[in-house]
Parts: sequence; C-alpha cells; structure tokens
Amino acid sequence: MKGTKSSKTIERVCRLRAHSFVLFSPLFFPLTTHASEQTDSIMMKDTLQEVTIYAATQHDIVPTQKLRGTRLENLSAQSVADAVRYFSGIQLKDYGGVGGLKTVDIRSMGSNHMGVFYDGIQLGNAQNGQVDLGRFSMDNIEEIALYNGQKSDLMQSAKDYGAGGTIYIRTRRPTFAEGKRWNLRATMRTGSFGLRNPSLTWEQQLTPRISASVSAEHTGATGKYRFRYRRVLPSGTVAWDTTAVRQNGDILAWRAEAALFGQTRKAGEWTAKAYFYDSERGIPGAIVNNVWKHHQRQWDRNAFVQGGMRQRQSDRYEWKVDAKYAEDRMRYLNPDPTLMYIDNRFLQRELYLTTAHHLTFGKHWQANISTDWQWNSLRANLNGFTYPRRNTMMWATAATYELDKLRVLGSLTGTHIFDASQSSASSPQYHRASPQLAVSWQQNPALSLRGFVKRTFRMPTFNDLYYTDVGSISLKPETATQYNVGVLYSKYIRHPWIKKVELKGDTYANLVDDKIVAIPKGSGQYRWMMMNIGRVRILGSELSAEGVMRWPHGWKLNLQGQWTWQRAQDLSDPTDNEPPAGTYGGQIAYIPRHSASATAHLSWQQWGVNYAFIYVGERWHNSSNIAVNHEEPWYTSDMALTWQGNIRRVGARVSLECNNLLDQQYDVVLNYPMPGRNWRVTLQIRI
Amino acid sequence: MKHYISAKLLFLATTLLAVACRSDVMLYPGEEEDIKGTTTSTTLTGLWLLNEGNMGSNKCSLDFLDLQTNTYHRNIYGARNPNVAKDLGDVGNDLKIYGNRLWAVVNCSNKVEVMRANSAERIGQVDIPNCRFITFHGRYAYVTSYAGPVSLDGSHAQRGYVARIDTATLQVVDTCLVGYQPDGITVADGRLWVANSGGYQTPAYETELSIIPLETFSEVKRLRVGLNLAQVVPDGHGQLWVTSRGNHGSVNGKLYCVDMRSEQVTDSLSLAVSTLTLAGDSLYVLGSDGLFGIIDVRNHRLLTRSFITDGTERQIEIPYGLAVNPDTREIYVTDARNYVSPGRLYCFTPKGEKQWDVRTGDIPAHIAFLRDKPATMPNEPDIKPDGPDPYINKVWEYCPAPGQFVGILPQYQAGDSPEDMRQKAEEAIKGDALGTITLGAWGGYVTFGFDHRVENRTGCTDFKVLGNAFIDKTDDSSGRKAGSAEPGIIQVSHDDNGNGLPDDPWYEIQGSDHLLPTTLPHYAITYTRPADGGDTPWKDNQGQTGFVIQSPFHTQPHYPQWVDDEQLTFSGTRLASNVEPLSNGTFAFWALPWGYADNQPNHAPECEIDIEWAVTSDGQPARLPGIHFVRVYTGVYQQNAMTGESSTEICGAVDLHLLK
Repeated sequence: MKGTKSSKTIERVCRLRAHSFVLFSPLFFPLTTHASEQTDSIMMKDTLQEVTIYAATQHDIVPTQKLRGTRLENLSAQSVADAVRYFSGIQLKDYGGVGGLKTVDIRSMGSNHMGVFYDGIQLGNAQNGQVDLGRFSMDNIEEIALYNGQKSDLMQSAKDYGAGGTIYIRTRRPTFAEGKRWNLRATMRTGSFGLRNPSLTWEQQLTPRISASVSAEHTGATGKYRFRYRRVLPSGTVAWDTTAVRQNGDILAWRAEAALFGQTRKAGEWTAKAYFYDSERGIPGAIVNNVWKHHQRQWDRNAFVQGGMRQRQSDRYEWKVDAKYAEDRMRYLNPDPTLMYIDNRFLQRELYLTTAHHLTFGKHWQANISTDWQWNSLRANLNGFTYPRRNTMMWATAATYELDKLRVLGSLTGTHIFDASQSSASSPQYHRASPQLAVSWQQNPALSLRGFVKRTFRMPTFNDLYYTDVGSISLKPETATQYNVGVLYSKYIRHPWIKKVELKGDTYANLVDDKIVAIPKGSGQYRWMMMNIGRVRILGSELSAEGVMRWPHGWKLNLQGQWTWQRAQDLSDPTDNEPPAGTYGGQIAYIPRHSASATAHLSWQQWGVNYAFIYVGERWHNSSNIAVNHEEPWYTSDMALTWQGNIRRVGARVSLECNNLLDQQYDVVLNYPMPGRNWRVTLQIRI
Repeated sequence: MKHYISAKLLFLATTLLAVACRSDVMLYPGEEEDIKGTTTSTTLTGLWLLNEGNMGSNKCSLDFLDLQTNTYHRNIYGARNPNVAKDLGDVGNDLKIYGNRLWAVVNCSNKVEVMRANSAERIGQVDIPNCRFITFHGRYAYVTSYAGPVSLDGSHAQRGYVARIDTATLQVVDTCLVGYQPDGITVADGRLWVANSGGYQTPAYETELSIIPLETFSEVKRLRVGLNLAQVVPDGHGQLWVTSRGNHGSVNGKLYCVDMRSEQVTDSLSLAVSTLTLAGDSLYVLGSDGLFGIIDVRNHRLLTRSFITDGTERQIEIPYGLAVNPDTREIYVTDARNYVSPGRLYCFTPKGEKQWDVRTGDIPAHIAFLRDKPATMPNEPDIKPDGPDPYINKVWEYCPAPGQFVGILPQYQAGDSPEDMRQKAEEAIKGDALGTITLGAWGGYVTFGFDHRVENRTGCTDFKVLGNAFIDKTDDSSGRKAGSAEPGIIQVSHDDNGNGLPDDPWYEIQGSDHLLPTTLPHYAITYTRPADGGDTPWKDNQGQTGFVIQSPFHTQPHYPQWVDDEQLTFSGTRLASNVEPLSNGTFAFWALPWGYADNQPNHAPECEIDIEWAVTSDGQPARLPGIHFVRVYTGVYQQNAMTGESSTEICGAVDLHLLK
C-alpha cells in the first residue's frame, strides 16, 4: 500500500537502486513528468521523491503488470474487466454488454485460480468461485495490478500466498492539496446502450491523521445494441446476413462505499470500509436459431465491511491484521414459459480474519508468518439443498534473502478446510501445502532476470460439491503448478526525444491437474456431475514493450504493446487422440494461441488522444479443434479524446470515447454477440 | 540502438494491425468421409442422424450416411440451406421421416423443422415452444410440448400438450392438454399414447400415460405406469413398451409393458432403459450400467445384456442413440462422449461385431432411415446453371375448386383479386421454390408453363409434376402402395402458334386409370357459393348433388373468395375414389400406378410423365414434339370424414431432360 513501507526499506531500495530502472517505471512516469520542459536531472529528482512512495511495490520478483493513474484513466474503461484486457496472459470471458458477466482466466489455468483482492482482502465467492469483474466500476479505482504467482511484498495474508495468480484492485485514498480539507469529485457518463452513470465522491480530512471518503454511483442501461451475424459462401456471395437488437441486457445498479483512513503515531495505519452494491439485470442469453430474446433476470445484493491495521513495532518487527464480513444475496428468475420456471435465491456469508507478522534479521534476511481463518456458508431455496458451511484455516511462512544482485523468496502455505453440510455423506476435509520459490537477479541497473516455481490448489466450490444432483462430494482440489522465467530490460535514455524504453519477456509452463469438470452422468439422460478428470498443460510466452517519447512544445507520446502466445493443451483423455477431432492435445476452449494489445497516448498541453487496440486470435469452443468449433479472431480499436484542465478553481475532465471504432461484429463467447461501434461521453469535475 | 528500438515498436504495432485480418466468416460447408467397411445390401438408401448439440451452442446438426456409396456426410444442413440464418438450431430432440419429408424437433429453438427427406432442404418450420417428440398419423403430425398453460395458483406449474400439425400446411390445427412435461408419443391401436414425465416437478414426477383417441383428440384416460415416464414404443402384438426414468435417487428406472386393448400394465422389467427401438419382435435397449440389451417382446425375456459381442462397448463412453436397420438388422449405436466434444456413430453386424465407426456432431442421438434416393447436391448451392430453367417459370391460371385449403395454400388476404392469387400461386411453385398450392375438390386446376419447350424424347419420360404425395405402406400381396395420394389429372399443350400464350389445343395425359370402367370421361360439376359460409353445395352432370364439407380444422370459407361468380363449373375426367376406409377408423389412400400428379412420391419413377401419353379428346395419340404448358386438375371427388375432401396439391414441375 502506498506510503506504508517502512523507512528502512525505502532507504535500502534507494541505496541499492539509485539510477536503476525501478525509478523510471512506466507506471508513474506520466504522472511525474507533467512539467515537460524539465531537464533529466530535475526529473530524476522529481521521480526520486515519488519513489519514496511507490518503491515498495516496484521491486517485484514475479512478473507484474499494473495500470494506474493517467494510463488507467486514458483507457476509458467502464469496469475493472475492461481494463484487465490490456494485461498479458489474461483471457477475459465476456458475455457482452454493460451487465454481462465478465470473468478472467490467468495464463489459462481457469478463473478459479485467480484471486481478486479489493483493497487487500480477497473477494470471495464460495458458491462458484467466480468474481464478476464487470461489476467493479472504475470510478473509485486508483490502481489495478496483476501478479503471476503472488505479490512479492512480504507482509501478506496466507490467502495471498495461496493464490495461483492475483489481481489487486486498489481504491482511491484521499490526498489533499495544501490548505484543502475536502475534495469533491462528480462524474457523469452517458452514451450508447442507454447508459446513464453518475457518481459522486466526497473526501474529507477529519483530523490530521484521519480522513474519510464516501462514494456513490448509479449505473443504468437499457443494454440494447445492434448486432449482426453473417455468413458467406466460398464464392464470396452472402449466404445469410441478419441484424437484430440485443434484448434483455438492461441493468440497474447502485454502489455505495464509505471508508475511513487513519495513521497511527508510530508509522502505522488503519482503514475501515463499508461496501454496498445492489443490482437488477436481465440475462441476455445465447442467440440461437429462432430465439432472439431471453427473459431471465438476476438480482444481486452484495455488502461487506472490512478493516485492517498495520503497525511497525520496531526496526525488526511489523504486523498487520485485517477482518471482513460479507453477505451476498442473489436471486435468479427464469419466468420464460418455454423453459423450466426457476426462482432461486442464494445467500452467502463470509467471515474472514487474517494476521501477518514481518520480521527482519540483519541485512540479508526477512521473514513473514501469517495465519488466516475464514468461515463461509451458503443457503438456497433449492430442493434437496444441503446448506454447506466451510471453515478454512490457512497459514503461510515466507522468507527472503538478499545479497547484492540476488534476491530469493521462498514460501510455504498450508490450507486446511473443514466442510459441514446436511448431506448424508461424510463432509470433506482438505489439507494441502503450497510451496513457492522465486529468484531474481539484477544484472545491472537496466537488466534483471527472474524465475519462480509455485504450486497452488483450487478448492472445490460449494457448487462443485453440493449443488443438488450435480455436485460430487468426493472431489479433490485442483492442482496448478507454475514455472516461470523472465527478463526485464528498462532503461532511461539520454536522447533528444526518446526518453525511455522498456522490454519485458516471460516464458512459462503450467500444469493443471485433477481439473474439476462437469461430465455426463448416467446413460443418455443429459445430466451432469463434477469430476476430477481434467488435465491441462500450458506453455506460454509474454512479451511487452514500452516507449516514452517527448518532443518540443509539450508533445508527448507513450506507446505500449504486449503480446501473448499460449499453447494450452487438453491432456485429459489420452484415448481421444485421433486427428483432427481428438481432444487430446487440442487447444482448450476459448484460449487463443495469440493475443495482443497496444495502446498509444499522445498528449499536448491539456489535450490527449488515446488509441487502444486489442487482438484475440482464433479460438475453439472445445478442445476438439475442428472447423465447426472454430471462432474467428477479433480485434477492436478504441479511441478517446480528452481535455483536462481548470476552469477557475474547478478541475474538469471531458472525454469523448468511441469504442470498437471499426464496428467489428464478434463473439467472445459463442452466440453471445458483442456490441459494435459505441460511444461514451464522460464529464468530471473536481473541486 | 535507440532508433532501432523505436522502429521495432512501430513495426510491432503495424504488424499487429496487418496480421489481424478478420476474414468473412464462411458458411460451414459440411464434411464427407468414406466409411471404412461395407454395409450389407439393403433397400434403405441412407440414414439421417440428428446431433443434439449442447444447450446454448446452437450446434444441432444433421449428418447423413449414404448407404449406397458408404459415404458419411457430416453437418450438411448449412450447405443444403445456405440461406437459413443461424443454422438448424439449438438442441435437437427428435427426428423422423414421414412420407418424403424429414421432421426434426429442435427443442431450444422452439420449432419443428420440416425438410425434404432425400436432401434436407428446408420446406418450412412449425413453431412449438419447448417441443419434445413427434409422431405421425394420416395427414397430421403430433408433437409433445412442455409449454402448456401456466398454472395461476402461484406454483408456476405448467401442463404439457400435444400439438396436431397439418402436414400440408405446417399449421398447428389443434392442441390437446396432457400431463406435466410430456415426452415420448406414439400412435397405436387408433390412439395416441403420451408418456408424461413431470421432469420440472421434481420430486413430484408424473407416473401416467395419457391416452388420446384420434377422432376426438382429447385425453380420455390416464394410465398409471411408473415414475417419470420417457419413451413409448408399440410392438406388433398390441403391447406398448414404456420406459420410466425413476427419480435419479431411491427409485431406479424401469421398463414397463402395457397391453393396449385392456389398458393394463402387464409387466415390468428392472432395467433402467434410456433408449429403445423395435425391430421385428426384438426390442433393443440401451441403459445405464452398460446395458446393451435385446428383449423378445413375445415372452418379455431379456435375450442378452450385451448385443455388442466384440468388446467395443468398453470404448463407448455414453451410449446415447440407437437404431436397427429393419432389413439387415445391423445395429447403430451413438456415443455422446462428454457432451461437448464430437460424438461417434458405431455400426455393428446383427451378431454384434463392430463394422465401422465414424465421428459425428455433438451429442449424436436420433436416427431416421431413408428409403428414397438421396438427392445429389451441387458443391456450391448458390450457383444455378445457365440456360433454360428446368423448373416452370410462370403460372398462367389458378382456378381451384372449393376445398379445405383454398385460401390457405396460397394465403388469401381480403381484397385479393384473381390476379393476386395467380401471382401468389406463381411465387409458391415457380422455379425451385417448391411451395405448395391446393387445387381444391374435383376439377379445380392450375395452368403453368416452362421458359422453353420440354422435348418429347422417345423411350423415356420427359417431365414430372411435383406434389406432396407419399407412400407409407405397401400391400404385400398386391404390391399396391398407400399413403397420401390425391391424384391430379395432367394436360399438356404445345405453343403451336408461337405466341408464348397457352391458347393452343390441350391434350390429356392418359394415366394408368383413365381407361378403367369406373372412370367418367366427360364429367362436369358445378359448385355454388354457400349462402352462410358453411358447406359448399355441388351438382354434377350425372344427376348427383352433395356438399364440400366445411372442415372443422380450417375455418376459412372453402369457396374461393376472390371469385366474383356465384357458381363455378368444371369439366373433364373423373377418376374413381382411391380411398378405402380401414377397420380402425382411418383411411388408406391408394396411389394409382402412374401418370398423375400428387399421386406417387416426387422421387418415384411412377411420378414421371412421358409426353407420348398425351391423347386427343377422342383418345387418339397426340404425338406432340414437345410441350410448353401444363395444366393439372384434381382428378377425384371424395370426402374422407374428418380429414376432409381430397384435393390435389402442386409444388412445381420439372423438365427431366435438364436434370439428367
């Protein structure tokens, strides 16, 4: 967290890394160089000041990607899901539209291996393990970070250590300009899909050490957009071509958050936060022959309170404690008389406590010990529902050793799960240990090498185990083993207009075993059950590059690009290996071999133009990589024009965005058409 | 170095844009594969396999096995129907051939797709929400649906129904409420038998069969059989075999036998059967626990638990679909595997040895055998040959006699003129549109023409008129065939004066029954517009009178509304009635041997016409060099109780010389 690292660490970082790449990380560069006429040395000084705030999270042993500040703002993302598309190694499963479900899969391990942390505490979904990132508005978000393996920051909860990959969403912390005791930020977004999205944030300095923030947001949209499906014959003539309007994709949502931020007298801090989200949405459904509209509805009400404190006791010892209580209600209604009537209600409760202790021994050694306890329950109005409850105990020990250019991190995490339910079968218990080893080598200030090995487990969810008729109580946890090696080159250049170049490359091999998949049950009766029969081997490479350029008269250009190659093979059924349709060795569903994104941001004085490009290569709906399961590549171009400045003493920002500029018609998920060209206008004022 | 790097960045960006080409998405052309293995000679020409496809995937697909060439055609619906948006649909649930049409019930697309049996070319669809299974009788198809009226008591329970579909018009003409979530349906012993499952009412499953007499088409009785009923198969001994799925928990699935006469459950076998099919007296069953059984329906004995004898059953992950070739007794079993990957079709000898297997679509499930000659299709279906159109290009006159489909085929809109109706008739049957028009009762006619002369070549047939006749039974002793035959008499004309108009002499095609003593050569009839919109009175030149009965299923006036005249008079040859009432209250429509329209199936050689058969009004051979115009009129007058009067239906005509 910002501004929280002990002064000793900061000193060390500065000492070790003076002139090193971390000082010129892309992520704060645009923020710190707004005075473009500065000389390099002045800028460096500027940057150094900023480093005292950010350096703590800059030294990463594992591959890290971050979006924050101006760059995040320039992407004009509506939700966290829109933003994470720009990370390499990420596949977003997007059912389309403002209210459509959006989940992420990191390095093809499956979305359940991904931990999503909101202000440091994991967002859980004990029911199905899915976190819908489309629900997290960008309005109040300051930074989104993606870690493969986990954050290299030592003082973490055991949950952090136990995740295969993590996304950290950090909300804005109040900062006040000299002489100001409050900030007000009001934003209105509107545009295509009948979008109306006003939000308001109030920040108040209560005492010199305590500040508060209150934020509220409303999102409403009809969710209607035109989509088109078209097929041509080999001769080029159109076979069929049909255009329709997406129906039942409406959403009505409210979000309210309140938070208190405090600092203790002795370099400690505490936060307390309450979060409330309430929504009703239509589920637009698959577009199939003769069915162009669906009627399913979903209501969600999510509320949580969380808080934490961290305190430095001495040069050698620092601790933190966090707690959370969450209640998630969901109602799913299928009133369609052509289908089975369903009116299901679910209530999940979660209680979570964690404490972490960080110890420093001498110059080279640091250690961490953390323990977590979590309790989950699920209620539902389903027939034969067994009301599962789960107690999770976790512990983690970690140590780092640093010597000159070498840094080594080792950790061991234990997970102990005790389930209880009204099921007649005995309740499962799971005991698993997750080891990790990560090494980095700083060859010179510009070049570093890194690698890690980690094994994690994805525990069966309540649905996997207890869902009436489908769940299977004998499931084992899914295992993911990751191997990663990478190189980072980042150099600040003395050049008339190129200021910085950064290149990053990682290659990895993941093995997911005992993968939990739904398989047919019984004979010919179209019923499913969950089984540990899946096995996936993933080989991948990621490359990213960044360049920063400046020209006279205040022109600035920032270019970023990333490319991902993944071979994610289904190794579940060795007998099904007959080419071309055999699933053995086939690329798994919805994982492209190639995907890429590029952004270019050009700015001049108060004006900025952002161009963002996303490419997702050909994919298949199934491990049987044959033509009927093939999905064409898609790529979108998004443009945004922004103006940001002051009108008297009021800060203002106006942006006009055009997304999917070329009006490409595509599906991310089969039969879920995505929107074509769409527009958005954002007006924000800051007082 | 620095310049190099920035150049590289730009290169990366531009390459991304350039390689990222998204081509037009191609219509899936289908695939062909040779079956490695031979098929025993059979009178069947092929089999259709309907792949269900997973829910939401829209991957319901049709495969065709050509038994004459041993070629397997995968997923051919798209290529055969390139203009149908979004393919065949989502989740196929049943497949049957009736007459010369192939009917596919597509559950999550809420429709029954009607296609040509020999080509899978689409004829039309019947919208039925949550439709499940199909059966046929007479001129109707019967489809079960879950989507009956929703209970108003707050339980949201929804009874199912059976829809009665007119196979000529593809309209739902009546519905009959049954139990909750009806599945299997069959016609046997003059009644419809419907298996109610209650699948949405868990755990309160249904236990009863609904019994529906065909005449009244209303549920008269429920027969309690077993929990969660699924399939019904009648055998040749007055027995009905009924599967029950149990409750997937404490109650296992069972197979029941019902005696249809006494309406009693006579036996139950402790076999959880998921799929079953009858061949002779052998009932083949698939079930959980690796059951590949054969039951002798005469003594209810399980002859074997594994009709697969070479160990292949161990390769079959989820046995799903089952069919037995009625001629050779070869056994076809499909494997649905994991439901999301392509399945497989296995073919076994009658002794249970694997002959071959082949990849199918997703969830291969339902099989229908084809006896017709499969139509060959051009590689690229949107290209038409240059030169003369093998099909007719113009309808000159459309003058139907009163009839139950008059005003429906084609559709009459209030205010339509005779010219409007002519145009609609033309639209329906011109070219390869292959729609359907009705000619009404005896005498009603249509006149159409080709864009060229159909040559009268010696020694071969020259053209054929397409109708919707089909054959579904053959009298073994006489060789006579019956099904739906509504013979129309064909007349031809040569454009002698070369003015392109049908104003030249007409000659009648002397078909097989023209010279029978029961045929009336100079018959004439006059229909009078009914005053009250009821039955249409008629009077003929033989001193007879009667009525064209107003059909209870078609409420529109049967007298053509676009005609101003109060009377319509037709004259020509009247053939004897071809209908024979059967003991069970239904009718056999005997097909005449040759020489008529809408009498023999379109693919049958007996449907083809030789211009040599044309005769002058005094019965002398006309010896035409060729013809330009054709007229067809309904050749029989008969009222067939509730199925209404016989009326010839025309779908087009084709010059055989341009096809061969």
